[in-house]
Amino acid sequence: MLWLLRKSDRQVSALCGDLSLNFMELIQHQKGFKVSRKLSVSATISLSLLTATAAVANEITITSWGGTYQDGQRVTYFEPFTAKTGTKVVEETYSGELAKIKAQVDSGDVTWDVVDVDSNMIATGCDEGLFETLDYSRILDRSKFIDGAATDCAVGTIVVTTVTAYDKTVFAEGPKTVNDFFDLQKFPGKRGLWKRPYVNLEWALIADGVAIGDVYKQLSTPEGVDRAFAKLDTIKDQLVWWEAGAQPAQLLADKEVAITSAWSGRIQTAISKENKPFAVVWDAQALDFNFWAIPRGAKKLDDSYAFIAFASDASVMSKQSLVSAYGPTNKDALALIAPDVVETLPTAESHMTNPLVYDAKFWGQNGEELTKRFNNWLAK
Amino acid sequence: MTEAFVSLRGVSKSYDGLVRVVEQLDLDIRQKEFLTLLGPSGSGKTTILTMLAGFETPSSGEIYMSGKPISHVPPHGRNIGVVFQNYALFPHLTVAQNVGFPLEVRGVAQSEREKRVRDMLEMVGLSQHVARYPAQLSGGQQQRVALARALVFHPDLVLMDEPLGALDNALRKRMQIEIKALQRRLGVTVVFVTHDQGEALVMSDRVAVFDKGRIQQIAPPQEIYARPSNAFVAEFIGETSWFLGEVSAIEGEECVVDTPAGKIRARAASPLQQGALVRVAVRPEDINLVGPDTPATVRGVLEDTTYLGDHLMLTLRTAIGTAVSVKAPKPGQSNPLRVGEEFGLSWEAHHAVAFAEER
Amino acid sequence: MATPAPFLSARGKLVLLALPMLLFMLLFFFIPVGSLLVRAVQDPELGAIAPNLQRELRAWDGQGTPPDSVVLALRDDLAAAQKDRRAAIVAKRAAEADPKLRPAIMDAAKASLADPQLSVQAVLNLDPVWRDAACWTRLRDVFAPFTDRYLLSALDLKRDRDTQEIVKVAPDQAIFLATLQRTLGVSLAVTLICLLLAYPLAYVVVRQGPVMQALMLTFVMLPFWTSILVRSAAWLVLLQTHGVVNETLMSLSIISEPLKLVYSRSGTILAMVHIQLPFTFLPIYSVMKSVPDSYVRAAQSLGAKPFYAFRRIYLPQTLPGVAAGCLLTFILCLGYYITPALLGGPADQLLSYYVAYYLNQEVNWSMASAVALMLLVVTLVIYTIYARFVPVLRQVEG
Repeated sequence: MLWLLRKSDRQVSALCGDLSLNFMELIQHQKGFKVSRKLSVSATISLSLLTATAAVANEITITSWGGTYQDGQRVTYFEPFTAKTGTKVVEETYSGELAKIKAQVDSGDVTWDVVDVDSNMIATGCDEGLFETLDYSRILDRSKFIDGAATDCAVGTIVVTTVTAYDKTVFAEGPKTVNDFFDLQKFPGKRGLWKRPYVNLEWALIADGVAIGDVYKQLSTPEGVDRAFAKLDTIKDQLVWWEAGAQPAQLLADKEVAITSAWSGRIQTAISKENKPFAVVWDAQALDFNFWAIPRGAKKLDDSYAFIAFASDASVMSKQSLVSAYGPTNKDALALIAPDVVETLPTAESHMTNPLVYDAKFWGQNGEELTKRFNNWLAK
Repeated sequence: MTEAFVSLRGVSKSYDGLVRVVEQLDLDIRQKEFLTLLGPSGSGKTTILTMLAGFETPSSGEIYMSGKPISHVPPHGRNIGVVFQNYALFPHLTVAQNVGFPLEVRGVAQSEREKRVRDMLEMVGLSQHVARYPAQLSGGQQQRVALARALVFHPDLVLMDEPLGALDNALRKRMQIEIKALQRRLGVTVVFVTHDQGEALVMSDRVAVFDKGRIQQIAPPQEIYARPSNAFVAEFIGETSWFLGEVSAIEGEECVVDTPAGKIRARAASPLQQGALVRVAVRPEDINLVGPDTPATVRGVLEDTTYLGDHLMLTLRTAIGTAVSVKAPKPGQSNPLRVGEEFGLSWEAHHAVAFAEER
Repeated sequence: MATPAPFLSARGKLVLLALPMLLFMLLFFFIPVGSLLVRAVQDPELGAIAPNLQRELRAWDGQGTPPDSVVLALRDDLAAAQKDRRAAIVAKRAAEADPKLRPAIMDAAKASLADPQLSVQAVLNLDPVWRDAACWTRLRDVFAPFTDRYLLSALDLKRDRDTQEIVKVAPDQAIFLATLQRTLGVSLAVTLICLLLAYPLAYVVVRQGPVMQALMLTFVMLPFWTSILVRSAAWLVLLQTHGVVNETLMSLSIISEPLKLVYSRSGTILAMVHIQLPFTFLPIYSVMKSVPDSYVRAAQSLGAKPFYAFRRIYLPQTLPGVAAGCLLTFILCLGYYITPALLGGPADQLLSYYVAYYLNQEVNWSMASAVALMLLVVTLVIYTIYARFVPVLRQVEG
């Protein structure tokens, strides 16, 4: 009989394991979230009891993407902000799961005061009412930001771009344009691309002769989409697909690919910190932003605004570029950065000859359909 | 003398290369006999069984079956039936499938197999339970299935490893008789391993008493009991009282032993020298209790009486402290035995056996 | 003398003992899973954002043009929603029924917020969509209390916009059935490989001394204790084109071209096997430990050759462990998506990827639920087959 018990025990754990993997996300976001919050509340209480003498110091919770990126933000923004205002910053980390923000907003129990979000999240989340509409009089005049950085729901904090990069030891005379990325004759070898439709379809159209300004107009038509996939077809058997931002530099270093798309900051880090023989092609770089946003219903609006205003200040922002090679969104910041550093940033004048301004709104509306088609195309 | 059916010649077994579990063993097993290997645990008897079955090979020496060496024949090639201590009935097979297994392996046709299984199960009284699984049977029933399975394929030899150990006393007694009857009826050779001397005496044609990897004595049960060849056998089989002393005179087969309790006449188990240190063994049922004034071999004070239904077991203590067990008939109402009373103890000289003791 | 009645019956005590577990299951399992099932057929959000519009639309019979009350409810609810920036949710959901509705709703929402007193005629004049009776009917369907849209979509089906018949979606949009099939295929392959590796391994481990056994178990459990990132990095070092495995094989002249071990299906399977091996191994191991050697010895003494004894006697007795290990592995495999994404090839997206995609990227929880429900149904079907299959073995230990 023991055997039966053991067996049924195994069956239950099997089922639970399955559900935990498949549905844990839902459970976490809907229910478990409150639990963890209560835990953190009780932890906060016990901590504040311990430091009762510190009285009722303000604190805000800022959530970002973790890793070296958040390490840089700590030095550039969080610690100076606390030093200046006395408001403590409690850090949290996530991986861009909008569901986590939605769970807070829907339940009215918002614990994140400021969140670092990407443009796709803004495109979806702004329309879904997940973020506060910003009052720019409490931050900085909108005209101080470069185009596209100041949106209704979020303020750009950095310019991130998707570029192509290659290994200089493979090509003495490297590719210069996005067209070259698609040219297997001139630049033979494997190519890395992000395993998402974003930017890939745009570049395919540009390489196929579409003017950069017309890319999204084309992509909105079935013919344009067909044309983009047809162009990708020409290099499909040479493609290696990456998933995580750290992979492209690794792929290049391991000689898995000769050229790859990549987020510019990652490649710059590999070049400057690890002395990798990589080079960046800035042609048709896809300009995009990371933003600060306030989840709708956040309780400490004054502090949240104070932080975003602080982080948007030109002199504060200019220091970010020393930590990682992302461009500042405040127009005045660029002038405060050393010229040799500017050269590594996407926003350097010489790199901005023909950027592709990434249209997150387009992807918010067409993302599902194009993602399905893209994955279908991948599987074939 | 009949030709030995199975012979072990100079067989030794060591698992670690240091300690020999079986030591230079010579043993003949006769056709159709019921041979019991009796001994305390660790005496090597089970190891011999596993070597006979083929699960282990001798470290040295050879086993012959019908004159052919079989040490390197695998178990499945030996045609030997084994009844395991825990029966080892296949839990996922029914009673009929269990019993049919050796026939199935031998490629016996379905109809023939069913008939033989039915006959065999009838013989062990389990015809009703063919479709049951082992877990649904009682311990005794499982025992019978194991027996049927080991016999159904007409093995040349059947090995039984303490098969009755898990049964209660009454059932064990009944199974002893049933197994013995079955063995006679089928005329099969059986090697039976047990540490229960009663079982060995009841069932066997011959008993081999083992200790420390060696045979101490091999003989029919009566002889083992009546004429143990050494002190170990005397001690191990039946109950024995011991007197330590020195040989003062030798008269043919008999000798006179000086013990602190008095002079004792005894039969010598082996040739003895005058002055040899010996131990004298006497069985409780051979001792007569006499009154304190009657002449007797030794004297003792009654210390304890144990009521055993049909008789009494008395414990007496001699003046120098030796405990002596005496089997006594149930006393009449008129002369009850009182603890603390003194008695004389006497026996016939040929019932006492003297064993040489190392000095 | 009457014995006093016990405070609790024996049964009552048992129930009491099980209560914490039952409550736990209810709170953290049945309620979440239940709400998940409901999400797949019901979108609670629309009713919350536009309650009046929903009520009026449902009160209308859907024939011809809608009454003024519907139009006014649309105006008022959209104005309120727009204030919260949530009108876009209505627009997005409506776009699934008819893409023309999206801009129409957004325009109406903005206009209504600007002028709360907009007349019915003024609303209808905002966009040709509002003068099209069929569009109103579609909007009414969007607000239906229950919908099969998500479930159909998870099966690569949809209702035709005009006839309402169930039809297949366009081939380039049909993704879920193929992905489900791939998920099942990969899971099956991983399970079989795990079984082939785990069974002999367990057989060997069971036959070791206690010290060796503990050591070998530690090695088997090692994957449990390393983080997914460390493991991924290790696999890359080993398996990439110029990685350890390929370099070694090439230097030994076993292969002339590097094998594609990573960023391919084989990479996915290899990595999943590595993670899953302990899950397959442990149940088999624990069952094997409980099968004494004497059965095989008995079979051999009864005349069975070693392989026959293994097949007929040992194997059947270890089948419960095999079944449990395989079920566990298979079902866990159905839930993978990070490993295939990192190490797999372009065609290695598994179904759970889409659950995460809809949850986080599209914030369409109903669709996420529908896909998850599909996975749950498959899991339950497999479990049912397992439960059917296993009672045959139940007699093994009574």
